[in-house]
Amino acid sequence: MMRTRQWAIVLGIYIVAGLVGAVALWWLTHALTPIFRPLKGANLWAAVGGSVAFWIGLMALLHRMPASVKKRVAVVVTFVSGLFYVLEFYLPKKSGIFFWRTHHTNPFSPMLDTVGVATLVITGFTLLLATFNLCLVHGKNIAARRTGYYNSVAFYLAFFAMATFGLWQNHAPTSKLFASKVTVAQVYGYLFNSTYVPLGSTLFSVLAFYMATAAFRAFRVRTAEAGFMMVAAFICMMGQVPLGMWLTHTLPLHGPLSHLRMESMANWVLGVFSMAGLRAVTFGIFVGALAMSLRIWLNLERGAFFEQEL
Amino acid sequence: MTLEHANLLHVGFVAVISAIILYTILSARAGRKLFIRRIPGLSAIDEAVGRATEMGRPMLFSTGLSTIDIDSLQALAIAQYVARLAARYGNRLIVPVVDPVVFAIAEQLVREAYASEGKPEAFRADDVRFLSDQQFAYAAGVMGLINRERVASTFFFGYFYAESLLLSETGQEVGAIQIAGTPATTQVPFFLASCDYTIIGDEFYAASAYLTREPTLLGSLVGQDVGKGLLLLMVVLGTVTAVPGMPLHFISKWLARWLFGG
Amino acid sequence: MKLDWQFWSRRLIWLALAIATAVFLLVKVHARMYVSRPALDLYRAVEAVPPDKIIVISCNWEMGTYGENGPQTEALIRQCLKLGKRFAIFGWTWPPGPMLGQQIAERLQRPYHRRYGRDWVNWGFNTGGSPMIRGWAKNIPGTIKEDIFHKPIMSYPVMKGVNTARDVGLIIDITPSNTLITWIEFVYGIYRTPIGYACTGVMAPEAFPYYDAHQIVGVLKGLAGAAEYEQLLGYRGDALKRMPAQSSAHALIIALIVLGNVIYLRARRRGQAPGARLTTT
Repeated sequence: MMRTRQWAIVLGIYIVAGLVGAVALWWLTHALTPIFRPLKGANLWAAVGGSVAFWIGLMALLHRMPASVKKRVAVVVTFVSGLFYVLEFYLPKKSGIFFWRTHHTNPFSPMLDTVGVATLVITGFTLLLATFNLCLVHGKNIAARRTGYYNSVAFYLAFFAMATFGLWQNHAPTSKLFASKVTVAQVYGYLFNSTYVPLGSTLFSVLAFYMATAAFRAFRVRTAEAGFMMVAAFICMMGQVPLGMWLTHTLPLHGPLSHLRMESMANWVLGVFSMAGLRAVTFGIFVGALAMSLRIWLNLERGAFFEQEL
Repeated sequence: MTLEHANLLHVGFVAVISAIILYTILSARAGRKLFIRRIPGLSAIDEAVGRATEMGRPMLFSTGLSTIDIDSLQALAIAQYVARLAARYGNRLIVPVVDPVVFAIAEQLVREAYASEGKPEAFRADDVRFLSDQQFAYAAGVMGLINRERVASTFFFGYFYAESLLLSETGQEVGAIQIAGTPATTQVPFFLASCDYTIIGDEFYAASAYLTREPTLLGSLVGQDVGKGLLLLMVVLGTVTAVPGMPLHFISKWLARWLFGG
Repeated sequence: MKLDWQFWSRRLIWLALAIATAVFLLVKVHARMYVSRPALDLYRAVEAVPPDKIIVISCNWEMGTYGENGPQTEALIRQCLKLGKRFAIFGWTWPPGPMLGQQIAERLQRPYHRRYGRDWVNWGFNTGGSPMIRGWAKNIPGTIKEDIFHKPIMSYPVMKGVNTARDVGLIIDITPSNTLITWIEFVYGIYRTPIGYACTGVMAPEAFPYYDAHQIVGVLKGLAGAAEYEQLLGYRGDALKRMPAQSSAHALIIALIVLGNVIYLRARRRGQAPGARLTTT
């Protein structure tokens, strides 16, 4: 068991880190507000160029740092980023503790949308990485003439066709294709409605067939609990379809016997038993998610890549 | 009462559960021994990797359909454990991913796993591949991979949607041993029907603790269980006091006012 | 010649399922649905939207789930067109969603003499996920600047007075994904805008905790939910036409489960090791 002194040190570190982080965030939200005003013309291009140069320089500098520094930077950035959302949500909308603000409003709330957009911009860094990997893998298949390389040829044809006509129709939908009367929008519509849509529907419909084979193979009533589950499954399946409703259609629509109608029993199983079980599982999942988020935020996560040298 | 900002009940509740989790984590790190029950699905991972190696066929690990969030991070943590085993036994692990950010992390993870086992040359960059960000295009790609590569073991960890049964049935057809774990409650029945081992609900989040036996993670698991016990207590208290005329009925009214503004 | 039972049993089951569904798609059978409470509540919620508010039909689905979400979208749009309710099609998870919604709305608007721009609008697909929804709820024109035709949305008469989530009378999320939690967290939780949910059958059980807690006003459960809605609207659409086929498929699956258990029990009595498994942790 930890001693009182050790507890005090750990708690103290967290409280101090939280206070320092909060002050830093408040200063950032205050000082950086001017840079989030919309820009136009030369100012916009200067800002874009400057941002690109800044980030390239920062990444180059980080790359040259020793591994321990890189890890510390990642830990601090993770903590401060998480702290922003924690403070924004858990501090009230208006309170006397924000005494320096005009209407004593939460200083983090106005920054919420901007921080959200910044998060999306960061995920955009990886946009072309995945496409590049896809093209590389299929390119290697074709170059090496591996078994089934014609599938990779099909990938390239489909990729360039959709990309070309998708971008083209977005900018000039009425332009004609070569010397014909066919417009770009028509070609894109054909590619979308006659190939993309049916392919997706086809694969989803395969699910029904797989469900039938899985049900035949796997659902065995070996215990009493499995028997109860089968009865509940029968009621739920038949209670949703006209055939099942027809089985009990002679029962009255109102009164005590109406509860024995197939659709009533199905809705009761879904709305009471199933709902209770799902709610319980959801509670567990969210507590687990809270614990994992807490570990990542406070740099307590261990294993996998969290302890790797960067 | 809206949820734009937390009220005292939210703050108190989250603070109490967080404090409990932190206490158990720090206690575990200080040396307290904690018990965790056996989870057959996770224990079977070693068996599945060994079986694939004996058969001389590769393995496949799918991280689900989510972008980078706690579900995919947890899946990647399990993927690295499996990758380490694969490297140790000299087997291939194919990791198809659906998200570009997850792809970047997965590639680095698997590469590091092979390097940590002293076999960096055994890592094949083509084995970690981005297939598509569209659900059924990804499913079709994984089904094709399973059939072409004749994988001996498949691991489905992460958040899945309708493609769960497509993937697991395809693995069934090629005779692969299949282990699945997902926090998506609606997909659990499909995995149960097709997979040899299925991990349900928050056992998925316990996976990294179970596999690594890291004190921090074990402590967090115990803290989660205490938190769930508190939730259960609230449910029982709310149910009992919600009946009008019961003693302490005012507690139910107070909770409703704080939670719903009603 | 020894048959590979495992190989042929699968194919026979698939053939049986294909025949069972195809017969009832080709043969006209009138199905009657008894409307469930969640579908009825959603129907009434749409009726109750006042004229000064807009309905948002969030088409977060793609062609893979057209079989379930398509009839749901059609039934909901038909009700809005019939009652003259203003509505906006919107999407933020699956890019094809708004385009598919557009096709359905364009096909349905003529009999009710409704017009794009005056009675309904399509905001198109917007990227950004949860942060975008949060910003959308605070400032709709600021977040969604253009419609699907790249025209400013505020240039349309239907958008008059629509600025925040408080000007939205009902949001109906039609999706096979887990987007409901985002709507509840960032829209219902803050603005108390009513939310309806039309999902694929497999996602329906997850919606019931929220329906029971009155965080959503109604639920359409897959194709059956769409059929119930068509029953309420009094027209025989794709969902009602397909319900006999779904009945037949369900009956076949139940028969297969019974057959599988009969085979299993006979094998057990003969002392053979059962091949099937249903393993949990």
